[in-house]
Amino acid sequence: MNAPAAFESFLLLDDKKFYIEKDTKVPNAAIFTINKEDHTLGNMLKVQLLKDPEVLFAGYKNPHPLEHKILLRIQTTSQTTPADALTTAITDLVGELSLLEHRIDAAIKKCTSASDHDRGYN
Amino acid sequence: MPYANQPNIEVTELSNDLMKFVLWDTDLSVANSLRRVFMAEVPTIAIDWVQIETNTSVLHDEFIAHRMGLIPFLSDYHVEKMQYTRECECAEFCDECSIPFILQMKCKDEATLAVTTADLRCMNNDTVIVCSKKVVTILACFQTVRPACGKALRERGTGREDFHNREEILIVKLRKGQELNLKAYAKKGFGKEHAKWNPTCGVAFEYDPDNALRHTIYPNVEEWPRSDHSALPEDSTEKEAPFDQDGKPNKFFFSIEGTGALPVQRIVTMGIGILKKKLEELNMALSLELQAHAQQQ
Repeated sequence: MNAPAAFESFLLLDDKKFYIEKDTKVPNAAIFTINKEDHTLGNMLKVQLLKDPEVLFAGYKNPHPLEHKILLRIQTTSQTTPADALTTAITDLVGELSLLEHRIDAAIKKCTSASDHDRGYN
Repeated sequence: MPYANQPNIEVTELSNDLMKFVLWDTDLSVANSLRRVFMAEVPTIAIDWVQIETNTSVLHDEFIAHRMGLIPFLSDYHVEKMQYTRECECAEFCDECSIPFILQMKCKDEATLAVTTADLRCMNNDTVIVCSKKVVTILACFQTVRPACGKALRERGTGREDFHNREEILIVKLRKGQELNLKAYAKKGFGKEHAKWNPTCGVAFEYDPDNALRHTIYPNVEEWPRSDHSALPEDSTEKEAPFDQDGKPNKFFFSIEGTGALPVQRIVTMGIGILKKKLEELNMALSLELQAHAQQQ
């Protein structure tokens, strides 16, 4: 009866997608609040950020399963900023998925042409 | 793109219902995100609104409405052209965002009448969608949105001849004098909102088949079944590979089974596209927010 509406997990409604909060205690650190996102993007971004040697810390959490948002904390060296590191991470992942998009088509074609003879349909 | 992976993929088995592939040279996080997207964010079509005129069957209204929702619909040629109702310009229902169906059945005989998906009638048969030249010959069976079962699936063709469960889906059984009369709208949606829109049924995701990374502990090593992807020699007595201290998961074995709503290769290609789109939108939102921040200072 008091279940939250299912659309709350993906509709942004009147809220903002991003909130950026600078960490005042540590230099070059920020917490990005990303609304309506979950482990699908959170974990991917965290792992990608950690590959960057300029990133000193990257971690994410979903504060509560009913709060549909993730907090992503990034600390970098003075060579870059958390926002730049995040942009690079996102661009890298987009690049990776573009390549994958391309390769899956080729892989499917290869598989169908190999099995066309046995099955007689495509 | 300084730190981007260069993933490789190989499809090992492919039919309309099942696709197995191996993905390597990428991260566990990316592979897992793909799995999550295939299940929760690839859109399909399912009944989402039911108006019951008469129901004198043994099942109550909510029960029947729920069963209607769970029927998978052939979504291949419509789902990408359809609008989400919440994003559509119409006030309630229109051809852009919904497909009306009616079901009118009454049992007049002594024998029990099985009401199935075959009795579901689509109200606008003119939902013809332009398609590519390649599929003109088999166009007829794709044109209408209809339940993904029985004849519809047989016409689409299947690679797995031993798949028996291809008959019409039973909705309710009526005895003499009972009647079911309803109107329903099928809409576009995705698994995050309700599991009825999930295009997959079985998704297997495996890495490190010989447990070299010790991400798990075998409580009783003898009882642990050998993985299909195991690299250990066939006759080896060892159940797991030696511990690889610095190892990282690198090779991922997927096996994806579809409900029939979408051919599995579409689930996979759409899923990758959707994940990419999510990241691109995130990048847009981030740059907008950064601009707003820069202006404030």
